[in-house]
Amino acid sequence: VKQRSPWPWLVLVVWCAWMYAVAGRAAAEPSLRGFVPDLGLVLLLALEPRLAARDAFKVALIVALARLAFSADAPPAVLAGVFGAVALSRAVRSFVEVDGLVARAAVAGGSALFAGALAAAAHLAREEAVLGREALPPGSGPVLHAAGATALAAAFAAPLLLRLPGLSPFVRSRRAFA
Amino acid sequence: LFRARAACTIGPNRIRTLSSTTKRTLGLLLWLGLVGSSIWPIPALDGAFELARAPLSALAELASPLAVLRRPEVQAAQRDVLAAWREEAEAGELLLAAQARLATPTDPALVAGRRLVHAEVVGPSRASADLLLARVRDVRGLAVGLPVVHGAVFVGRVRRIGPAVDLDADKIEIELVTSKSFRVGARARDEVSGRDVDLIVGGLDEPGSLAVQSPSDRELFAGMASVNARLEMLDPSLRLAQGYLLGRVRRVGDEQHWSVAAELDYRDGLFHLVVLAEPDQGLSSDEPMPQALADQGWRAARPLSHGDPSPWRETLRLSIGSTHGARSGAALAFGARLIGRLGAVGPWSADALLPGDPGFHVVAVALFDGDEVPRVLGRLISLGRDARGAVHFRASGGEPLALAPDGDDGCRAARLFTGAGDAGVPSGLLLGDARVPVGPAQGLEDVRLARATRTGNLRDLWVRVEIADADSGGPERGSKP
Repeated sequence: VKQRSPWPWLVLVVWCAWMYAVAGRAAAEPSLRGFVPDLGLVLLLALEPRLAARDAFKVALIVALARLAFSADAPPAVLAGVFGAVALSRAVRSFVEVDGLVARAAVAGGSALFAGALAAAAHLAREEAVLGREALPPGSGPVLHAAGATALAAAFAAPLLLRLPGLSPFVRSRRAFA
Repeated sequence: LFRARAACTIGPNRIRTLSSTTKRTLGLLLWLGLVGSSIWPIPALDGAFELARAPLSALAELASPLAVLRRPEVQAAQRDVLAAWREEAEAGELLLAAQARLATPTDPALVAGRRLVHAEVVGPSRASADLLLARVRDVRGLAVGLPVVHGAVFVGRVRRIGPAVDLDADKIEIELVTSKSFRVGARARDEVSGRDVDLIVGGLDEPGSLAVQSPSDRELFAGMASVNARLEMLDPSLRLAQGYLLGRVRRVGDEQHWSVAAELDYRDGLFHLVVLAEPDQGLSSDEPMPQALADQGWRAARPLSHGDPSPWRETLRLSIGSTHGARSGAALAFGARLIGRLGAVGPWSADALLPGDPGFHVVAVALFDGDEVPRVLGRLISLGRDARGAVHFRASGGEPLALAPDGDDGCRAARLFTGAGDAGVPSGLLLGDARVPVGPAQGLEDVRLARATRTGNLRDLWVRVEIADADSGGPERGSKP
């Protein structure tokens, strides 16, 4: 990515905002809510192998901010989840090709599971501050389902997300396999 | 760590020259800090994050074309709710009238020589859960120390009268009998010996029980305790509460320990109270307060999102913030229905937590089919929405529901409304039709709110603000349409 050109970054912001807006709409349907993938995370993990560490964390910040614009999840939990996904991807990349279908799905599923569990724990902690011992932990089912849906989306939809209009500067900057 | 601290103190230029190991260590520490503050929240840090998040409402506007695509769906949903508005508002008014009726003492011996002043509970005071704030129509004739009752049951005494610090002109602060420092003289007739026993009641012994001290007869076994104004010269106001019930006193545990089983749920069961004032030729007993739907304490809010990307949550982002008078916990309404409550509030936007969001909570009352008496359900805490669209709640507190179920599920059909006691949530707003466990099933089964409003489809929402804030200016204010 050319550091001086802001356009790819602005396009990325718009795409991330739309992904989370549509994800929010889909998750509002009771029949769909367990199967809505975290497309922002999928896009981040698809771009990460193609970016320098500094750019990868910038993309992660954009993904986190886009999610926070539509979500009531605790901001530190969202930031920790997204940055943790980048760190996991970079760690896995040191010994396996993360751009492969299975590895990509595994990293995305694991990251979504961690991010979802952390967001649920953060929500419970804040409820406990208000309700005390009457606070109830949210069910684990939707978090597991969403992690599965994210893994599937990473496996099959990630290449399509990389072809979204305006994102080619990120894709073309592919670096050598670390 | 020394190098990391040096980097923090020197600034960004120094960070650029750090080794990759130091940068990784700093990154790891930052990440661990984020994880830690997620699980162990620090209110000041959460407030700072909310402030930093404020400009993101502009980012949410990027998705506004989605609202245009959904316009027919939105209009249909709003039409359905508005069609039922009048009937639902009337039902809320009837509920409030029934609550006021139940809260008003009727026994001539308990009413004679007193002026009754109705008070609607607004919520607990910030200072203590044992201090309640209540709104009255007219504070004239009220004085500190006057007794406060619910029906024939003694509740507490007036502690402060507005206007005062953190207390508006139309509000009073009530100290509940559960307060640690509260003491009231009482008398109970022992069920075994038949003798009258004087005692002092006040403070909590355990949840649901009031503490008892200094019984005049230590052989006391059990009996119904009521207020007894023994020292009328020292405390003339307590005379007005003479004869009002406190609850059944009984010996518990060891031989020298007594407690009073509370007649009311003092934490979540007090919606409407009556202050007992001295008779005044110029002032008569007043009428209960009208429903809050029509007053000026509402402000329009527009959803910025269409749902939460987290699949287990049910929230919206709203275009209203603290600069418009919005406060965390305030009611979000459409027509006569409670749509949700505000969560984190930033300067220009806020989270709206909807009933299907796990952890959403509200004090509720139920009007059961074939039963005219409003029943206190206590605090309902949401467990989330199931695949069929019903929202499940766990009830905390509330009164025993000695009613017969009308189905095999141990439940009975009821209409749920908000109760008073949650700051920012007026009583009498409709929550919806529900199946409520009664009799033996109470406490074992969930309260199920069937066909809960599909709130994501409603766009013209109203947020409850303090009337003083609504009058302070701004683009949209005033009563609901």
